Amino acid sequence: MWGIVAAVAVAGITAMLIVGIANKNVSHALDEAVARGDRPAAPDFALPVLSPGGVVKGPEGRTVSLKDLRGKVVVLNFWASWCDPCRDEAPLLQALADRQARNGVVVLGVDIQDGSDAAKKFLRTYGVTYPSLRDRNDDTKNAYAATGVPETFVIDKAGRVAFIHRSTLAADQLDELDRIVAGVAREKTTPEM
Amino acid sequence: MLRRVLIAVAALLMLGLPAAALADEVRGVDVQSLERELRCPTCNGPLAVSDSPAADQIKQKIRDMAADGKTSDQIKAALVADFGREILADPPKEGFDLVAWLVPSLGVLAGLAVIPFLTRRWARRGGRDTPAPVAAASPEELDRLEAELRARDGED
Repeated sequence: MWGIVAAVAVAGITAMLIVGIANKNVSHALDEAVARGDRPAAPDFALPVLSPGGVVKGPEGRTVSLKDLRGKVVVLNFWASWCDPCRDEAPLLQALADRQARNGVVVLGVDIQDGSDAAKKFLRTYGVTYPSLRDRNDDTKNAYAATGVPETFVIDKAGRVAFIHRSTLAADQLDELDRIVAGVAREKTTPEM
Repeated sequence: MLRRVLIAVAALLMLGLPAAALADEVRGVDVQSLERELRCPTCNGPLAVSDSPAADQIKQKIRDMAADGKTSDQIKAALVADFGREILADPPKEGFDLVAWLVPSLGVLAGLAVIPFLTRRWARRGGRDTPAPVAAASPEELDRLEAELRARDGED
């Protein structure tokens, strides 16, 4: 009987180790694939609207998924109202959203670990008109292995990650991001629905 | 005399200070107790001891709601509605969250239940391992041994 108990315990510990190692690999998988020049599938999500805008229609609380945006280039930005660098970054992303709107690009904020009132106040304060969703339980943050805010992902029309920027977007990096997004928007990718 | 009075007053003030410092109430809401019941969403530690920007923001929200006249339960309910039940330091004792309370208790009970079984098992194993006491030789056996030794000496 004790043999069985010991075997179960060993199997449990082994399983936890495997899951841990697998998760560790997942956390770097997107970055490694993009660094290789691949386009890994962007983790799907279904999140409530915090603030509608453009193709992301309201009302607040309506669920929007990444699949709903297939066929469009999505610039996914994780942010929070308490995040100081996000305050500097928001106007840059707004400029990007304005410049790229004609190319059908959707700049989409994902607010994390935040109170909804504070988040909406942030959007008003910084004049953000691009839409934002709310990731209340960190599922999407974890799926993208975001370790903090802000982090930005460019997702192509087929729902694949084309570019990752895991830190604050500086003013002198806006033009480069603009070029990358414009390039991805020009691609004639058939959406994988 | 005056010095003694001043020392006594200072001692009384010092005794009163911790209580005054701990009693952090806003319109009848014990803010610190409430913060101990909640979790910081970024660091996952108790809100009361976290000084992350996210925690500071929630602490301010608690104070604002208390100042608006909300009760402790109303504030907690509002935060759960906004952040989800993950904001609570302890899971509620209902539904699936009961598992978080029951599993550790069941584990302790299972451990206690196993102790008598293990004790008996170890006691039995201990009994088998102890060598049997050697019985004293009977007079007949001693006589036989002596006879055999003598016979052996005779052979030599």
